[in-house]
Amino acid sequence: MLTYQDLLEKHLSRIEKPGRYLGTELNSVHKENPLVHVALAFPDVYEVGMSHFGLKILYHIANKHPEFYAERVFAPWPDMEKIMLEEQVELLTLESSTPIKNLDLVGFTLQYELSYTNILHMLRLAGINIWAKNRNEGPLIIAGGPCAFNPEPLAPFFDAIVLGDGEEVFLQILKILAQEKNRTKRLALIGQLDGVYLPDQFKISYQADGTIESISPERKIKKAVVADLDQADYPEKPIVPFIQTVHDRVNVEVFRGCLRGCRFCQAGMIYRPTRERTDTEIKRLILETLKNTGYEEVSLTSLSTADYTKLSCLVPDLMTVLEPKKVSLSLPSLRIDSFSVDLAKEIEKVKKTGLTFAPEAGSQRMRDLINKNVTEEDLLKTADAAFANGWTHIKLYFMIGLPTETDADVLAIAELAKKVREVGRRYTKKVTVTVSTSSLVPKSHTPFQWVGQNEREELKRKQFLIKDALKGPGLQFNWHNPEGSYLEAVLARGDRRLAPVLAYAEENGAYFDSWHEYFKPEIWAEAFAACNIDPDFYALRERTKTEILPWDHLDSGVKKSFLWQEWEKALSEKTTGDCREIGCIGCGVCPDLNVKTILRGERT
Amino acid sequence: MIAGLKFGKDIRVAYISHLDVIRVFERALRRANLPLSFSQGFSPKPKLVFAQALPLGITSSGEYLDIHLEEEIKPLKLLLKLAEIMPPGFDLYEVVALPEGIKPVMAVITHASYLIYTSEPEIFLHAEKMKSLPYINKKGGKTKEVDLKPLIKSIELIDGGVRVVSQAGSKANLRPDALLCALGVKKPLRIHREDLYLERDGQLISPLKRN
Repeated sequence: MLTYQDLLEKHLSRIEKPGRYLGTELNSVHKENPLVHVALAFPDVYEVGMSHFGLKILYHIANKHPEFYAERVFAPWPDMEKIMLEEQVELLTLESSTPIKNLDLVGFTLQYELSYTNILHMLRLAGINIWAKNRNEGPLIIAGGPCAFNPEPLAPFFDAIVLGDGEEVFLQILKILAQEKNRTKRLALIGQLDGVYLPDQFKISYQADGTIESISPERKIKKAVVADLDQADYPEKPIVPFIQTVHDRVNVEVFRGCLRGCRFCQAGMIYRPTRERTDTEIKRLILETLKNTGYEEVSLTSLSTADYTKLSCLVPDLMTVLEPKKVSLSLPSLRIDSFSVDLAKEIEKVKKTGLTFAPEAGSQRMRDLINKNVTEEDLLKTADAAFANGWTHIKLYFMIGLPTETDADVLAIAELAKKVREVGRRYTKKVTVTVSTSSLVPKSHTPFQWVGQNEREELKRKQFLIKDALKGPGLQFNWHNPEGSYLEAVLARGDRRLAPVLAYAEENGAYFDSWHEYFKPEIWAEAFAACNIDPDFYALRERTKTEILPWDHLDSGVKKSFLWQEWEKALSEKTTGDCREIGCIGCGVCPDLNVKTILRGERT
Repeated sequence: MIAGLKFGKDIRVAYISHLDVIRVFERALRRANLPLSFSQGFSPKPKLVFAQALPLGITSSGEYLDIHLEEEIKPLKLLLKLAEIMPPGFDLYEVVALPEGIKPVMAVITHASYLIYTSEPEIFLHAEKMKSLPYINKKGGKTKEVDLKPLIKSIELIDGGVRVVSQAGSKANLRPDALLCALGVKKPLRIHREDLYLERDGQLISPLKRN
């Protein structure tokens, strides 16, 4: 039987990046005859999958136990996929080239909707039946990750789905696999764990108008949650890829969960509450990981790193250690305030980068509506501080297609960018302001879960409004095709009736939909038509307060009534504060999950 | 000090490109916590000079690297440290201390020897007797006919294939794939770069002995 190595040797000239398929990277794990053998599957190409921190955490958790072996598997790029089909090689794990259909379990991560067809394609390449009900043998196929909070379009393909933090549940699943060898019994035991959803146990019925009549039984699956990150397992010896990946660096998650409450942001709702690591633990993890990897860059990750309460002492402290080693530090999400500019100044000692801020909306009315508690003055002051400190390039991220958005709101994006440019011109002539816009994709478990997405033509029109208004020296505009956002919106709030559409699209060639060069909207149009599904019903329709939503049985801890209240406040353009500052706002997470916010310092 | 390293790549890392190899060494040297010299500028990098990029898919037992260090370190100690820290697939043969100011290794290489494991050794041997070996070189949309013959120093039979000693380096360089293409042979079972050399007084000597 051929291995990846054999395929490389035989077809080298046809394979763009052989480094994707080696499996022998530094710190990769190789074991023989494990008691439990599983695969961690990332439904995208190697470089993307290897940049995902969750995969590294779970790899470490499994492999530190000698009896468990977790290998990686990624979606083979179309060049390698073609060769595997020609050679009749079924999808293999990366480390040992074991066919994944021979394993105990395959766990997929659901990071973004446009990777869904890759999951089906990977199963098909592996020779595994995509429909859970047709599988009586072979590995259990499970999933986790952010999209697990509405996995309904994928529900018929998975045996089990894990909601929430995976660290503890994953280990419990491996222990069950070690103790019980019968497939059906294994699944029943896994189904009893906290945070595990067995889609087959729930039945959905629909009304004549297409909305859901009932989800039965009426019980809810609550997400799993790690109470204290300092106690959680952390991969101090992560794999160091040979080839360059998207995020090729030491990542330390400084906290999980964000309480800012941006109303479009699913991550800000489903990962609550905020749980910070201690600064001493963060520093220890960084130094240990550097020792084990030799990386030249460290990133402090989270949903809003500038909110870490000990950041102002952690960053200078880290820099005194990192600077002599010529290791750079990056903070991927800066807040719009001068504190963030000071931080940026601090970390630029090793490596100069651009500065990126996300005001998200151009007008104050829209920023209030999405609960982005930032004013124009904040942004201009921050820009002033940045230009004063020598930066010449500022990137601004915005969203278009927000509820009740008018052309004036859209044009305010261009105006704001021009104001930032004017601020910069006080300091230097060669100012560049780059504006990037994305289209709102309303997500489940957010205050915008009831909202209809703007039609594609409307989104295009709005992008052209900005493009025309942004002409001039020092202004750049990145725009995109809204076709992908539309499909994302369909799947993000879809239900089980979309499963046949996914299967149809995959069978007809949908693969790597999130890569614009491979995304084929016409396949999807055909798939919706063939399955008699109106995609507008999912993407464009505004839902009512009483409608049963496809994910109502999946509980992130945030109450649906709180989300509705936030939606009503959005419409009246009222903001909601952060519970770390103004006290409990009643989202429901802490009492529901019996956890609490953990801060290690004072709020700044 | 400058440490001259001779290393090899076995089949496990033959599919890692030259750029990736650079990163592998940079990170290994950082893990080893050695007193590396860094380049100036916005993103400082350890000062490493490689002799010559090895084409993808080719194994080697003769690669060279100059490592610039801020402090003196005993060559044997450095070799042992590297052996401890490099990922599997890299063979580490020798480290020598080179004097400051010595010509960088990439500037001195003149020849390479390749072991080509092939079922058609006679075609290679025949080529040695030919007056010229034309090859159409395609570069940036332009095509240019070049003669590979003057680049070949010798071809001899070995067990399972041939040894080709050719010019290599910045002045004149024979790429193994160009040779295979010009000869019109089948894809060889394997190509191995045996060593790199510099020519001095008509002799091919090791780049580590260049001082």
